[in-house]
Amino acid sequence: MAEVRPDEISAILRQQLAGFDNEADIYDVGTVLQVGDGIARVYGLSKVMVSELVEFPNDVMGMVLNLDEDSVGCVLFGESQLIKEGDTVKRTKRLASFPVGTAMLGRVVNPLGEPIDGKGSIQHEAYMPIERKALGVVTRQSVFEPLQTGITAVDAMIPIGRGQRELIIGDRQTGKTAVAIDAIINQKTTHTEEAKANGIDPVYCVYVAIGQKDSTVAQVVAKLEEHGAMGYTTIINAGAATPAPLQYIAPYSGATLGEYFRDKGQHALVVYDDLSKQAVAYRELSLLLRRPPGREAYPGDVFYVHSRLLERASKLNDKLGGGSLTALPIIETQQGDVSAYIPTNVISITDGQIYLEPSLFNAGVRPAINVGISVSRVGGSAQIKAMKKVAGSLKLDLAQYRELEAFAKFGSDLDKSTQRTLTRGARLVELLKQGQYTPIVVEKQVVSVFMGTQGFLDELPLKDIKRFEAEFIEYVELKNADILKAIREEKVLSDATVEGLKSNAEEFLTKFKVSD
Amino acid sequence: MSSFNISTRYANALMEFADEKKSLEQVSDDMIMLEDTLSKSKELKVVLKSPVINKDKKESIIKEIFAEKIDSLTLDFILFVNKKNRENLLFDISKRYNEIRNIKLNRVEAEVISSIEFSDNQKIVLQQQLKELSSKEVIPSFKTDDSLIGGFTVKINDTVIDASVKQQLKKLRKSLV
Repeated sequence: MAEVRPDEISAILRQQLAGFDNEADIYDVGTVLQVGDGIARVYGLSKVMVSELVEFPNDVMGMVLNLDEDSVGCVLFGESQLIKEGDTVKRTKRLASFPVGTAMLGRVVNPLGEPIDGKGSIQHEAYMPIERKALGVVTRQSVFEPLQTGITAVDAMIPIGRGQRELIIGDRQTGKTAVAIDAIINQKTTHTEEAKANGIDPVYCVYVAIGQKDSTVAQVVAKLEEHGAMGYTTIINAGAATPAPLQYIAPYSGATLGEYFRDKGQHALVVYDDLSKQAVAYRELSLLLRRPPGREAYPGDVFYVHSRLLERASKLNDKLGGGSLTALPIIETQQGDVSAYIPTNVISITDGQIYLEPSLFNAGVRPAINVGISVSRVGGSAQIKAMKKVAGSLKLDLAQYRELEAFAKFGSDLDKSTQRTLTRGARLVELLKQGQYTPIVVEKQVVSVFMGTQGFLDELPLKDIKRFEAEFIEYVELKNADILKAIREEKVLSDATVEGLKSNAEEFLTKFKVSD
Repeated sequence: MSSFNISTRYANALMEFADEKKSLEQVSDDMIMLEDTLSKSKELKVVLKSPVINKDKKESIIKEIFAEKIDSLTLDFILFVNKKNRENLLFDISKRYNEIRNIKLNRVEAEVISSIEFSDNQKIVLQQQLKELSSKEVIPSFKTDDSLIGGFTVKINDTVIDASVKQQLKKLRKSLV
């Protein structure tokens, strides 16, 4: 057995303690006047700053939100039962901040950056304040690189660019989180060698869960792990059981981590799931701090809460490294009411929205995206040329289909062209259906949209569309992989590619067996 | 208006009036005494705050306690505060008065807590050091507390200078774990 010599121990201890200075400590203090409901009023702390972290007894941390004439209002990040009147509060001289670094990837943390996945401490690079001013006009450039979500309906009609803010809005149980998670999973393709060769930079993801069941978050983590997406993703969880102040700061923490990647010239995608719960948490603590309530009892600055958060999404100019921070905020509506206070606010802040509808969801159209009222204000500049070319007629065809859909229900005699529009539309809707956790790469999306808009599917029965799509893509992959490669690398739909696709499709149609 | 604002206003008024009447020193001493009395006697505080006891009763109580001991100007002031239904703020007013007075005279109070009692010589040295440090005249009050283990702490306004063994052990623990 190896022996431990006592003198060795003392030598090590002495060495460890050498760096320890025993000078007098100087710090500022205050006294707790009142505590309760996650709020503490403190007397003293005369030089404290707004949003500075303060230390209460029993390792409870707090953040200063109100500076009044004779007291300071703090929100508590721990249990208020651990604090009593007359306790001493200490300044930390540190603004509420979040640890950043590549070591954060693959981890589940709370909004203060402390790990909650039981994988030990995180070797972070630095602390950055959670509240940072959004960058100004001169540091930005317009969005032009696509952020592929892997969902055909989104990438074709509601393209999201790197640096954009795209709202995902819908009732409960319409698949809002599913869209965001699919987008995260699809970023796996940007981390491959192939993507690097094609000039696609990797996207790092941050998923901020606010006020959700911990079991739901655990499922998300498991799904991301299963699809190998945790390697480039950080999850910030402020569950339903965490105090409102932590739920309130969680999105800002996520934005800070995203900005770390952006400022390094890399690309980040941050999902805020969801901001309506954050607004509720902010309402709670605002009311406790006795700020006057306004519409729906939200405080007057609830718009600013969301605008300053989403304004941090940006695409930097090339001089600053060209990094980007894309934000995908999620808002839950009640009974499809998009004209409620918080939904209208966030709709007006973001650069477009993906609107999910329960009626579509129940009709089996999944993802249940209502393409009529979903928009992306960045538009075609965030698409590869090939997609832009094929998707143009897709939007038009679907719009015409929706217009005529109501007529079709009467079952009256319809003329030829109307019937043609209806068949085309029904097939396109079928084509855009897509399973969860099955993102499709952009070249395959281009091929299937091409098939739909060029009318190759018009003769097929509806139930065979998805099978045809899958089998055709497999066929092209095996027989003429050059076509897919050409789209992937050239990013345009050249005449040769179009001809190749057409001939392949005609050939495959003769071989395809319609099910009975 | 917050109680802080109200007490500041009353305290300033008293100070200006006392200065006019050339009895600032006397009034200031009285106010220190008043703050001291109120912080020591919980019963008196409760009586003043109680809405059940009527104004006349309070007036006679105040007169009986303070009449012989304080300047007539101070007594008039206390009775005036009572008449204006602000007697519950009397403690805040006296505290605020003393704070303002200290700021005007460039004085600060310092609370010194040590593990063992300081010798007189040590006290003088400490006072000198604190005066240099804060560039203000320091009025120290000394206390002892065993839980510090060794060393001492000084609290001036909101700032604490902590040279206790307890704090050093805490820091050592933090650096190790």
